[in-house]
Amino acid sequence: MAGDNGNGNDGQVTAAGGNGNGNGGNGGNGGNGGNGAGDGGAGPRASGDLPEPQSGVLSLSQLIGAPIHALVDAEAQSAMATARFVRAVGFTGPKEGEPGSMGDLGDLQMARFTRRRRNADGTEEDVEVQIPLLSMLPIPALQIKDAELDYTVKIVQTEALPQRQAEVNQLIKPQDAGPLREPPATLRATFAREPRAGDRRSVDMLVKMKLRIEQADMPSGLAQLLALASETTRQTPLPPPETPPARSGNRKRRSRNNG
Amino acid sequence: MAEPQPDATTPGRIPCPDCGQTLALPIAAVLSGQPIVCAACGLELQVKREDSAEALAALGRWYEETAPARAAAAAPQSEPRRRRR
Repeated sequence: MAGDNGNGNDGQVTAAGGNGNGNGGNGGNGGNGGNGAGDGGAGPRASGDLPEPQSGVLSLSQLIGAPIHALVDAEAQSAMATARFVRAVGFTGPKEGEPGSMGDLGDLQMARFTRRRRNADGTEEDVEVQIPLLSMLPIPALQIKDAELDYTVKIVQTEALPQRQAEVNQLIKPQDAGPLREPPATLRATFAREPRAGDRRSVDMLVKMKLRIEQADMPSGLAQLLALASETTRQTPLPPPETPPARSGNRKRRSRNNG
Repeated sequence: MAEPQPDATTPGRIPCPDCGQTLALPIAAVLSGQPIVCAACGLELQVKREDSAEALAALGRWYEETAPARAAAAAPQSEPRRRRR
């Protein structure tokens, strides 16, 4: 029945805002990866008579859920990459010779600068300024701003919930009435091929994903860390040079640490 | 919507230790040892290379690894490739 468009027997559906191509264009038997059940749409089977799962055929919920699961996984991986970056660049790590525990980040990694400071009495001194590396770098934190998933699936099989399970459900919730008492059906489906105009067969498998990624909003924990890093910028007067100049009196040591 | 103006809490910028105005810390300048000069008060920050060796090494690795991304961001956007049929 290859190409028998529009007879409705294939039961092909388009999920999640799909393409509206609900015809039999994927070739029915054998045309969609050899699932052998292209005529699908068979009625519910008797209990205990469930066929073995076919290769490439999943329940519709698995089929729809897998790409969404992948998106969540991708976001988690992105967050972990951000955490690794902060750990690797922003901290010194456990000190050598000390057994570092899992959460031991060590100290903040500091870049050290010098500057000249003129004091109130007119004297000048060298001061060391320590700036945390984390406040000098943009921290990469990406998130998926929006995702558009476009599935075309072909329903190849329908299964009612096994009778025994349905009876159990009925016993558990006898007060349920109406459609809730109907034993739910499981739809089994496979990704379908999209028919292309003018061609008898298409080569495109249909899970289309369009993602937009952006710099994530600053997580509150990271914002606090950065605020802490900014506050950690500190200045320390440097000791005077070891060989004092011949004409003394131009410099004065100060005991105050901050200025 | 207008881009938010960078302030002293933006990465790569710190409050000037002297006058408190926003002071940019260009990574390239820090790595090459050029003094960082505050445009508001003229303060000069000179990196202490020996004491900051570890930090500069980490900074250098980051700078090297992100060079392609910076180059791509700086390059004018070309037309997207057409998919081969």
